[in-house]
Amino acid sequence: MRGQLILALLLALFGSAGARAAREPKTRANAKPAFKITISTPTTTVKAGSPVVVSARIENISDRDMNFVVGPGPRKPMGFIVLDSDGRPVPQTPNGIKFYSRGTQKQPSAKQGSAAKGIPGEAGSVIGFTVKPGKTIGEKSQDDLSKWWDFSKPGKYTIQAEDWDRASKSFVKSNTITLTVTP
Amino acid sequence: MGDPTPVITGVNPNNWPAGAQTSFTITGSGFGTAPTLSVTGNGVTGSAITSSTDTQINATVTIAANAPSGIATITVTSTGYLGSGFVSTGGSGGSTNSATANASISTTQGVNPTIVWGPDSGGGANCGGTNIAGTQQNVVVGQQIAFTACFPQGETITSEMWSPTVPPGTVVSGYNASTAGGCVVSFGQTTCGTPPSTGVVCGTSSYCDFPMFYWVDTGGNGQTFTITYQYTLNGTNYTGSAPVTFNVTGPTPTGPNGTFFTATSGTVNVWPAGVAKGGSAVNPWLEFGNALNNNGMSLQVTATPPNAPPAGAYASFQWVQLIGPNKQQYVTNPATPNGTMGTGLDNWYPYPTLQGDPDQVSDSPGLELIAYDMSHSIIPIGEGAEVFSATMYLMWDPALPGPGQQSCHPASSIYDPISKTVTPTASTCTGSIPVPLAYASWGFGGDAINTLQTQQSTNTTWLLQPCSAPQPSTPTVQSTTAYPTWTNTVQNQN
Repeated sequence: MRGQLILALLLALFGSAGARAAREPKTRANAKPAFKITISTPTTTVKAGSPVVVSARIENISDRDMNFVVGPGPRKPMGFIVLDSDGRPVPQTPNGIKFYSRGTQKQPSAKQGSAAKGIPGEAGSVIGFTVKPGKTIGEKSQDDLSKWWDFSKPGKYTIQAEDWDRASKSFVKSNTITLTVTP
Repeated sequence: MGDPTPVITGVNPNNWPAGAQTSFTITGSGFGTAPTLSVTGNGVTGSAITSSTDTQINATVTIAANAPSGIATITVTSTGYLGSGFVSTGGSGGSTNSATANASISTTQGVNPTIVWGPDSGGGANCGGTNIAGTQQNVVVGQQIAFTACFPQGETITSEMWSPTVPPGTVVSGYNASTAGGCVVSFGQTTCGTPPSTGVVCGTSSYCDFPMFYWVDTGGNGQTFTITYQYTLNGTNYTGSAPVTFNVTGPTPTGPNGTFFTATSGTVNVWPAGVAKGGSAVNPWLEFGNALNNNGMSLQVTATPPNAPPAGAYASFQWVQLIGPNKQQYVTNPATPNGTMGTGLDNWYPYPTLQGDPDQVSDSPGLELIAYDMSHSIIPIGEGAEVFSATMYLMWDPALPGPGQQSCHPASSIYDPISKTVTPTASTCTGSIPVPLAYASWGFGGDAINTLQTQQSTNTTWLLQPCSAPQPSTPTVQSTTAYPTWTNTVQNQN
């Protein structure tokens, strides 16, 4: 548990991309990824303070079913590498730091403070989603990255998504999109 | 010798409908050059000559809509030629001669009401719409059914009724569902708090709404239902009526034994870290399936939806799962309280699916075989047990746009690969609601102890106890017209 707390602290200091290397196994060279990530944005130029909407599609490019799951316990979101025009990592917002610390720390239990001594682990419905080979999910996904990264300064930004592939034990990176933020 | 007395030899037509002005012709002789016309009888409100000769009079007569059936008397009076009157045999001029004839007033050809789609917002504003009286309308279950009867403007009525007053078949007046709660508004009663208006909602002048409703089932595809409106005008026995017939269709079951979906059970076991919880678990789980290579309960639609139209372009099946009461037990040192999860909606409305693949869902419930102390340090756990029960409903939403909508989407809970969470989205369709098709009740029970030695059956140190409940069997899928309702949402224990 102490280790997980330290990881959460690392995330707060360096953001998800910076902490990624510390919390995941090293990338295996020459591993064939099981999926492909393609990100897109409906508009490549936005005004500072406006939402930065990004969609991410995941295509199963393997010859096996891919499984996704939702259920008890936090899940690490898809990571993003957000760089400014100088190639420097863009700082995360406080909400982003909190969002990307999911899955690294046991959440306090509602029973904490009661007379009981023990706190149970996770329980509940676990819903698996199977994506067949060649199929794609996320066509209609849309997330506002400005909630999680600070795009307040005008300029050019590059955005790339990455996610952990259990099959190849490697990170899969998406295409890179360029965003222009105007005053 | 005086002028001749008029003679009426014919009246055409001689049957005049109520509620209309009728042109008619009187034929005969001796009408003179300036005859006068009188038409008397109950409901006769006016008459006038439009042209005349000595042998023919063209005229109009107006009969009130509320005129009873009966006889009208026509009197033609000649005032002689050139308006000089007659010269009587007695020598005194200026007298008149008359002739009478009868015509019947009929109420059998009165103006029948019309029926138009849509609830009337007041004042009979919808009454200019297409008349569907006497037609058969193709509709689908879940489609909002709202229509209005319209009768002649300016009339007052003594009675009116829809027959039947309660729609035939299984109907509801609404279904309100979200992750926060789900309730059905029955026709004439509600579980939602505020009672809906019941019975016929009618205007005071020229329209009468049938209470809005939704058909829940087809009563067998191809079955038709007829609803008739009838009114009686004020102070008369004049009645008008209009029927409209609905052909209600919906999804057709194609599964074994005519079921709308299939349900397949997986295996209860202790699954190791990296396999349990879809492969994402960091500790062993006592779990019904593992959501990786063994789903606890897999459900697959086996039904064919009706084509669009009358269904909407985005018509879709959807799932709703109610769970509980469920219980988790732990034997730890120090003690961990039993977990009790009440009854209610299983986390989301509707049940999560992948985008574009709403026809199949699964659930692999369980509990993590781990416990913590107050400082979040792991504490020893010797035994874990769970009893879990659930009922999964399959529903179908025709996704029909309401007034002012071009298109719409039904409610959905879609897995988002960025946040890796499920995002419930409410229905945007104001012209339809989902309807229940079938349900299956299922569950599992299991008890695992930590033997502290690796067990071949679980690849962990945990062993499923022989005293556990038997492995779940395939649940029975039953058709239903009963909606899932809930006032509580049971969240996963994180």
